[in-house]
Amino acid sequence: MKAVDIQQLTKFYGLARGIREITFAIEEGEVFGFIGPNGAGKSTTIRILLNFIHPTSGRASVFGKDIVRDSLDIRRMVGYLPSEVHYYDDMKAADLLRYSASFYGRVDEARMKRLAEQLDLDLGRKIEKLSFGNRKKVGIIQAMLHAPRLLILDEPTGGLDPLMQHVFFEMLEEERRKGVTVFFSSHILSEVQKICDRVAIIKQGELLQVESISNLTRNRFKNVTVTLESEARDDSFRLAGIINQERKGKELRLLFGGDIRQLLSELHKMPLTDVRIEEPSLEEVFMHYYER
Amino acid sequence: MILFRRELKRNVKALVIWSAALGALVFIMMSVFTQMAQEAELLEQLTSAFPEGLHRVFGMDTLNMASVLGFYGVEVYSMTTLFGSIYAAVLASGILSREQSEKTIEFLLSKPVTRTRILTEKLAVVALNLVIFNLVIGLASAISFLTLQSQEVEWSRFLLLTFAQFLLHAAFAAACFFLSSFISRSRTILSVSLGLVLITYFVFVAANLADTLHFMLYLTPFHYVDAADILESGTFNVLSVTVIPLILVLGTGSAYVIYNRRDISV
Repeated sequence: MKAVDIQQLTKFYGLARGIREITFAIEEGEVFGFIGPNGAGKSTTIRILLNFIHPTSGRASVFGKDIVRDSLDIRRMVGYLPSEVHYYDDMKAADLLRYSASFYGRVDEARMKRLAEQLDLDLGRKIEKLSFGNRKKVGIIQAMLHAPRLLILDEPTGGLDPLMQHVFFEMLEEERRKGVTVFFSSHILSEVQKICDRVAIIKQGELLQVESISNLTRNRFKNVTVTLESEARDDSFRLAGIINQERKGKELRLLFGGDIRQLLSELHKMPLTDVRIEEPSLEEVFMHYYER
Repeated sequence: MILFRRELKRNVKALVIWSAALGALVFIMMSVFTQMAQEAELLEQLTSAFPEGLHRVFGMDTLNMASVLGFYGVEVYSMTTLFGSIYAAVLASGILSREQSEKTIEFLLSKPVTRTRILTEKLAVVALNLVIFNLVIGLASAISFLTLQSQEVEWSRFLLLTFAQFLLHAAFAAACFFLSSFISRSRTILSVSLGLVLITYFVFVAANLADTLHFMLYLTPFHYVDAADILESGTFNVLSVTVIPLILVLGTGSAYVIYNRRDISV
C-alpha cells in the first residue's frame, strides 16, 4: 500500500494559483523529500493532505484512505509539524504535549521524557517563554509523541542549530527503522540529500520531477570543468544533455545530464589543457530546475 | 471532552469576573431600591430625572417603580441584559476565532478531531458559562429580594424574566459564534460582535423614543425580552418565542455548515 498517493491534485485560491495537477506517490517506509522554493506550493499540498483546505480538483489518499472523506482516520495515523509552530501561550511545554497526546488516547510519559531528553528541551518551561528553536522542538516532539505511521514535517529544521539538526536527523533515522514513513518539505537541499530516499521537486505550483536522490546526484548529472588553451575562443559547446554552461576566461563549466560517452568524444575534439568531472551538489542540480 | 475541559479552564477567569461584577451590580442597585422604598420622594426624584421619552425605553410608563419587580425591571434588568449580552458576545466570538488568530488552529486540526466536534465542545462551554452566569445573576437578585427589602415578590414572573435574559444572552452568543465561523481576525470579530450588541441596543432605545421608528423594534433582540411586556403579561409573546429560538438554531446551524466547508490556514 502507498503511504501517500496524490493524483492530479489541484488547488486554486479564487483565481490565484495554489498547485496544479500534482501527481506522485510515497511508498510505505520511505523518507520522501518535498523540495521547492518558498511559495512553490509545498505547504498547500500538505494542508490538503490534512484536510485543512479542500482540493479544487484531483484526489489523494493516505494509507488507502481518502483525504476528504476519511480525514479523521488519516489524522489518527499522522504526526504533523507545521512550518511555523504556534501554541497556547498559557501552557507549559509538558501541558501542550499531554494535551496533544490526549487526542490519540493514553499519554506515553516515558516516550515524552525520552524525546525531550534527546532534543535537550526543558518540559517545565512556559511555551510563551521559549525561543523559536525550542518551540520547534516542542513541535517535533508533538508530532512524534503518539508514534504515528506517517510523519509530515513542513520545513522541520528551521530554527534548529546544526547540532540539534543532527540529533533530529538521527531521531528520524530511528523512526525510519521502525517502519515509519516520513514526508519532509524543505528548501534547504543539503539536508534533504542527507536523509531522503526520493524527492519531489515543485516549482510555481507544478511538479517538476520525482527522483531518487542517488539518481539525481550520482547517475545523471556531472559537473564538468574544462580548461581551454586560450581565452580567445568563445564558441559554446553544443551537445544534447548540457543543462547549463558558463564561460569564464579559459574555463568552461558545464552541468551535464546526458550520455557520458558522447561528452567524452566531444571533449576529445576540443583544444583543452585540463578537464575535471565531478558530482554536482544537489543545490546545483536544483538551481536548474528552479530556473527552467 | 478534551476540548470541552480545556475551554472550560481557559474561560473560567472571565466567567468569575463577569459573574462577580454583575452579581455585585445587582446588589448595589437593589440597595438603592431599599433606600427609595423608605422615602417615596426619592423615587419620584429618580423617575423625574429621566427625560419623558426615556420612560418608555426602560418601561417606566408601564412598570410601577415602587414595586420591587417594577424597579428591578427598569433599573437592574436593563443593565444585566446589556452587560450580559456584551459578555456573551465576547465569549462566543472569541472561543473559536482565537484558535485562528493565535494560529493554534493548525495544531488542533491536525489532531484526530472533526470540525463538528470542535464546534460542539466549544459551544457547550459557551452554553454552560452562560447558564452559570445567569444563575449567579438570578441568585444574586433573589438573595437581594429576600434580604434587602420586605415586599412580596412574584417569583414566577421573576423566573420568567431571568429566563428571558438567558435567552437574550444565548441569542447574542449564537449570532457572534456564527460570525466567528468566517471572520477570524481577532480585532475584527471583537469589534463586529460588540458592535452588534451596542447597535441593536441603540436601535431598541431609539425605536422606543421615536414613534416614527417604532417598526424598528422588530429588528432588535432586546425588544423580544422587554421587561415591561413580560412583567405585564406574565408570559412571552408569540414573536419572542419564535424569533429567539430561530436565531439560536440558524446561528449555530450555519456556523457548522460554514466552518465545515471552509479552507482553514494561518
